[in-house]
Amino acid sequence: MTTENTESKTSLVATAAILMVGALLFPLVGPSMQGANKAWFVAGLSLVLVFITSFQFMHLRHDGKKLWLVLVPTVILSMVILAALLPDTVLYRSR
Amino acid sequence: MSQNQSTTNLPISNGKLAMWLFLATEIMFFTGMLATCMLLRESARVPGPGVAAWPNPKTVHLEPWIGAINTVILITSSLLALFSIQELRAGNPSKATRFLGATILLGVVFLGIKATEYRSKFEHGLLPGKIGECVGGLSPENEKLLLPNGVAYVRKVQEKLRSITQGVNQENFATQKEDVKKCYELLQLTLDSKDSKNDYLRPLTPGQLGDKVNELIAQYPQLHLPPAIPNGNLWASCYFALTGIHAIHVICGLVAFLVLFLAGLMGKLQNHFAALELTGLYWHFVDLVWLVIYPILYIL
Repeated sequence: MTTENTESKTSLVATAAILMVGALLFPLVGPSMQGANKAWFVAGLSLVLVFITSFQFMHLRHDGKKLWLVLVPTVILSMVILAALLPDTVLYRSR
Repeated sequence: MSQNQSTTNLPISNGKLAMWLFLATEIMFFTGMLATCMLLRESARVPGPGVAAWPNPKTVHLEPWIGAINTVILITSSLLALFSIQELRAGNPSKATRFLGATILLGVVFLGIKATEYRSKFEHGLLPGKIGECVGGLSPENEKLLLPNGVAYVRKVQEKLRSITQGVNQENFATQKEDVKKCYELLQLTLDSKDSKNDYLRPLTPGQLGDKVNELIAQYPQLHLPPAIPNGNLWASCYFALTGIHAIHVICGLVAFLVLFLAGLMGKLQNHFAALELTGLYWHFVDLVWLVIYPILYIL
């Protein structure tokens, strides 16, 4: 059995509580916002929640240094997928 | 191979590396899906002046609070999966099995809520390729483009109205309930007819019918009439693709957890620590993906 990556139960519960509060902020704050503000709020908050989940629950806080070789190209390629589709959207809108 | 040859392995187990490689492909897969849906949303044709290009969550019967509850359930199940791993690491397989059972239970609750949501979509006819997209205010160009969709929508609404108003006629009309009366009147408006002043009354166009049906739905949601939603079919494709693929991932995680739970009931969970840890990692990823899908579909 491995003994790595042990977090205390308290810190895990605290992380879960932060994630839950974050998730509840979406329906609490989101509907009152409009347009670009709403989009930035949704993108920003979900990015924070994804960051917390991966670092605490998926142990990237400990394993990140060992896995950068896998994760860095993945993140870059994901950004490329998003960015590659963006020009069409922007061009369509400007028409 | 000589004994003193240095190794070039990563300082993590092979299983964990394999799981992360798999998750890397999954990250790119979901990014592609999300990017496509965002592109479809942003480039959706504006149907006409003052008509929304993309349906808002209320129009398509998506309740943000139900999505939030599902998110909380998934986060809690992730937490319990971590507790299960910790207990097994501490040498308490029976406690670990109990936490595993609770994780599975919450996963099933998540799927149950999703199934209820899907049922509501089926009841309202909010399915890809089945949604009427014609409403009043469409530009002439869009109205022409949507003609086949509009004709199919009129037939669908007529069919539904006929089933609601079965047995209703001019004689017993006055004795009917208010919602049935309104449906009967609307059905008459979809047909060629005449009245005391006109020899011929033109039936409603698909756009006019869409507006009337939407008004009726707002008054009597229990009728489950098919709504008219501009770009609704694109929305439905995105919704079912994203949530459906996510649900399949949840089911896969639950099956893996169930196998481990059964091993736990047979007192063999301590032999499967690595499997539990890796399934836990996968489960957190499923949780993470939902944290992105949920706000895009339910809030934006």
